[in-house]
Amino acid sequence: MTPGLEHYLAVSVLLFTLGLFGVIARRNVLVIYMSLELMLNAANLALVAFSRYNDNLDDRSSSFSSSPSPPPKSPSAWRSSSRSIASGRRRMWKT
Amino acid sequence: MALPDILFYVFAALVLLCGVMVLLSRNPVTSAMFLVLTIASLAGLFVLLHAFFLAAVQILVYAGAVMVLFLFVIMLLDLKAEELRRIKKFGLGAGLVSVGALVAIFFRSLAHSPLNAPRTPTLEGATAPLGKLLFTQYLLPFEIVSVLLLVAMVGVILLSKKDLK
Repeated sequence: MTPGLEHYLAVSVLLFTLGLFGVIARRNVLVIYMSLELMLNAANLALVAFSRYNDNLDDRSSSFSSSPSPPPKSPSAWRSSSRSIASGRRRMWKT
Repeated sequence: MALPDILFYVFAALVLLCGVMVLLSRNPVTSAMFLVLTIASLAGLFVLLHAFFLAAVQILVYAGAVMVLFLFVIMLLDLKAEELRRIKKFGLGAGLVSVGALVAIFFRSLAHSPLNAPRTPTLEGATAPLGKLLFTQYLLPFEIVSVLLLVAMVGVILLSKKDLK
């Protein structure tokens, strides 16, 4: 069966739910960020698929603006382990 | 069945399989590696959608830059203590409920209102029209994104400095 827009959207939704499940269920902060990246990528896939099948570039350009998402570093992540980071930085500067 | 159709199913299966492995693997480094695989096969899907520029950006930015940053952060943080309990018991239930609800909403809405998309799309993802669109019609959002990146950078510097002055 030739894949149409629905197939791409289904992949996108499944990937998004995988990311959502990771954000809710995992307890490791970094893996939560990776799941966030999965969700962003799923949204990108949906936008590109819509752009291709609706025959306009608007969706695609908007997906471009969300594509290079800034690397995940929230203050809470840094605070929760600020001690190990600080000691690591001290070590880096000493050498 | 033509080759692009087979490739679609291969890449879609790879995306979902590696996405599951990102969640299931115990070691964060393994998760990051599976995230690279997910992103690479997603770039394959972008190529199948004729979005060549986006596929290249996907590989360069995600598999290159973002992954290096992830690995740096994993290296800096010590994550050994968290390896044993990787999934919250409450989170498992809540996650399954929300995932089921989302999938049900999607498939029900798809069944109720078909998309009426053409079976044979004609749009070609050339880079030049995309760039023209980005720098004319979408110039303001583009610049706002750059300001957002600047704000993020300044914020990181402020947060990582413990005592100013």
